[in-house]
Amino acid sequence: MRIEYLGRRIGLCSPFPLQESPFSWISTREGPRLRVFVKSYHSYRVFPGRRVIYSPPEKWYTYAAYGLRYMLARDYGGGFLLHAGAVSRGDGAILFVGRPGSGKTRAVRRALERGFRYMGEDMVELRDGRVFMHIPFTLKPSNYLREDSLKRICFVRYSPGAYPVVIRLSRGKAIPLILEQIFNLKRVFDRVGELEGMLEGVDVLLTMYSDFSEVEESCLY
Amino acid sequence: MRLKEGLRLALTEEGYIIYDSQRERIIHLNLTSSYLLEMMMDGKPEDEIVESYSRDFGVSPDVARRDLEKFLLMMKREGLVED
Repeated sequence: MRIEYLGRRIGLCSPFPLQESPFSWISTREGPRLRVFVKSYHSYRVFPGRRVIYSPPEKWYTYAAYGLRYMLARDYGGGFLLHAGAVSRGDGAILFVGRPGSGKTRAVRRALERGFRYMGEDMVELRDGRVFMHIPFTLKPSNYLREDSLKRICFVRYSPGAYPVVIRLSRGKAIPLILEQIFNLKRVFDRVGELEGMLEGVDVLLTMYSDFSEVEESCLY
Repeated sequence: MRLKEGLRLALTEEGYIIYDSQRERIIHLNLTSSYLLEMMMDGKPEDEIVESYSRDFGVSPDVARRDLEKFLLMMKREGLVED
C-alpha cells in the first residue's frame, strides 16, 4: 500500500471500476490466495488546480468497509447497483456517473449546498424504475431522500483546458456506459431490458468540463 | 468459429452488448457487427454471410468480405470466439 500526500490529500478512493476489483482470488502454487489491489499514487491522474482529488479514508477500517461493501455489492441480485452520486429535489433523482476522480462526490457536495437532498455518494440502487439511496462515506448530509424516480443521468468527465462540451446521449449509447459502472453486473446483466426501460424519457448527458461550474450549469437544473 | 462459452449477450436498440463475465468486461457492438454476430451465431458459412451482408447493406461483395474479416479479427483479438 502506498499513499503519498505531496501537500495534497491523495490516496485511496472509494469506487473501483469494474476491471479493478480491490479483492480477488488468485491461484498460486500454495493454493488460492486473496489478492488485495491497492492503487499507487502513480496510477492517479493529478489535475492541476484541484486541491483535493481523492479523499482517502482516515482509518484503515474505512477502506476495509469500502472493500467489503464492494464484494457484497458484486453478488447482490436485487436492483442495479450503479457507481454514481445522486441528489434530488423531490422531483426526480439526478445521477452523476464517471470514473474515479471525475467529480461525482464534488458534484453531490455542490448540489447539497444548493438545497438538493442527498441520495448517494458513490453508489445508488436502480430498482423497479426508481432510484434508491445509499449510505454516504465521506459526506455528512443532513437532508436526504430515500427513493425517487429517475430524472437525469450526467456522465461527468474532467478535461483540463478543454472547452466545455455537453452531449445528449441516446438510450442505446447510454446503456453500455451505464453497464460499465454497475457493480453487480454479473448478477443483473440478463435484465438489461429493465434498465433500458428505466431510461425511457430520462435525460442522459455527457458533460466534459474544465471548470466545475460547467457541471453545475449543465446538470443541476 | 463460434462464440466462446460463458459470454452473455444483451440486445439493445444500438446493437449487441457482450458481457465477458470471466474477464469482467463489456464489449458493445455496432449495428453492422451485431448483424454479423447474429449470422455467425446462426452457423451460416462465410460465403453466405458475405452475400447477405452485401445485399442487406448495399455494399459490394469485396467490401462485405473485408468487413467480415475485420469483424472476425476483432472478435479474435478480444478473445470472444473459439474455433
